[in-house]
Amino acid sequence: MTDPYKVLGISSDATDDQVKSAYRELARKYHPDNYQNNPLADLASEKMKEINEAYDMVMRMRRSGSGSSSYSNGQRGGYGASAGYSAGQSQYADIRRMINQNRVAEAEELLGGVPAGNRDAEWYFLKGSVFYTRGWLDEAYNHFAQACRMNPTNQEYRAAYNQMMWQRQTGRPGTNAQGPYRQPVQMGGCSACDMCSGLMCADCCCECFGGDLISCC
Amino acid sequence: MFGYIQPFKPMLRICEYDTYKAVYCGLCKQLSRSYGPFARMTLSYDFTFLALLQLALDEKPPQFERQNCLYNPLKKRPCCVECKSLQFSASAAMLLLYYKLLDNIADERYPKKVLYQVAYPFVRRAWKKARMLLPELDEKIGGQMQRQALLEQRQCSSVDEASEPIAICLSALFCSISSEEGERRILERLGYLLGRWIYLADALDDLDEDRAKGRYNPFIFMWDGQEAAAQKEQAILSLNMTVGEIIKTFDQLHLHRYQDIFCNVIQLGLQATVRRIVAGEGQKSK
Repeated sequence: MTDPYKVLGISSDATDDQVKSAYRELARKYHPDNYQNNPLADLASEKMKEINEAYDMVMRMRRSGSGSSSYSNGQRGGYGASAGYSAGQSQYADIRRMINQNRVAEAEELLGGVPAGNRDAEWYFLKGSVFYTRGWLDEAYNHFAQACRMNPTNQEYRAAYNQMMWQRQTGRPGTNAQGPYRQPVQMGGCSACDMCSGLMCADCCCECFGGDLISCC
Repeated sequence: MFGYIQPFKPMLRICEYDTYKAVYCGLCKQLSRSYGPFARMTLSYDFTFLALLQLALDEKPPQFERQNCLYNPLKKRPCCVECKSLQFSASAAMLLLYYKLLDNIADERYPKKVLYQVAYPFVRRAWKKARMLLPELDEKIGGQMQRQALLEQRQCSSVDEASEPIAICLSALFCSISSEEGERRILERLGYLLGRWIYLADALDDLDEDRAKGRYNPFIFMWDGQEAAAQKEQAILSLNMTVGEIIKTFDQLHLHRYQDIFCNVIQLGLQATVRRIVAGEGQKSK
């Protein structure tokens, strides 16, 4: 097996906290939720498995090692690579399987064979998934929206639709993604303006009580 | 292509900027070496991105050297030395340039048309040479460009369909920079999405002009009957959705270097380009 530290992208003398945060960062990036319906989902879940194994291995090595580790519990936070379709008992089970295997042309053909009157929410969801796999994102979005309109309670349709809607609004992938530039830019701390207005406030307060903080105003 | 894929300079570290520039200079010199001094004028950010990506995926680090520059003869600058990544990007640039020029000659009127016709023999010679090196890519790009002309003729009203020819071209280009199966699949999707994004960004850039001149533009036909501002709004939403997808796809690539430069381009640069276009400072208004 490859060096687990290399998989996590850290050096072997990293602290336990660094190992943990490197693991969390990677797990967020490759989390199956980000790759639902995605034609690259299998690669992501493979990577996720690799990361989980590397993390477990590092933690095992550290616990059985010199004993210097303060880490008492090697359990992972609950990022399982369990994704994939819940195959379901729907009439579209075959089509779902094809989409999972990236056989979109066949899936599309079968979907096209369903008469227009019989097209339910599931049909729109699967058609949307086919479009999504091909990179036809606008059509994918429209079909997911239609699936949600026809069956507003289905979690799977809702998740797919919400993800596309989030991307449309923000230009960023799923909500749990992280990285140096992924958070909206927020000016933290205290700017020069804040300082001045603070001083002015303080001055006014002082003047109310008969004193003066800034004598010139 | 159009130079839309570029870093967001204010957030680029100086060391990153230097690396990016060295590859940019390297590609410029490569164009001149392979396709003559006129080819330099076609240097674009998009192909710098392609070259940089291939360098980042390669296990061996590229070589840099201080070299003289034609445009700044007094000062030596760091420059990426000749390698297969630069050669590939230069050739790919010539293929796309040729088909773009054909398209321009067919579309434009006097006086611009004359300019393109003057450039034609030079570009054709470069294309013939590039075609020898990349025959399969040339065939694919040629076929897709024909398809694009047909789509525009019948005034296709789906942005997905309209953007597909260029998306497939870039998909093929990006796919060719790796030989590893898993990596190729990621690059295939990445190229597709970037091609789609470039096409849509270009369509947004042209939107006002196309409307005024009564030319084809996918956003006008897709959102027919809506006001100009609403059409722009829809275009931005489509572009956003594509960027989100590009980021996810890019995350899957394992880069050996330049991670931060790509983070900048993908997560900030693309959006900055769209903002520039919306503010009326795109490539077309220069």
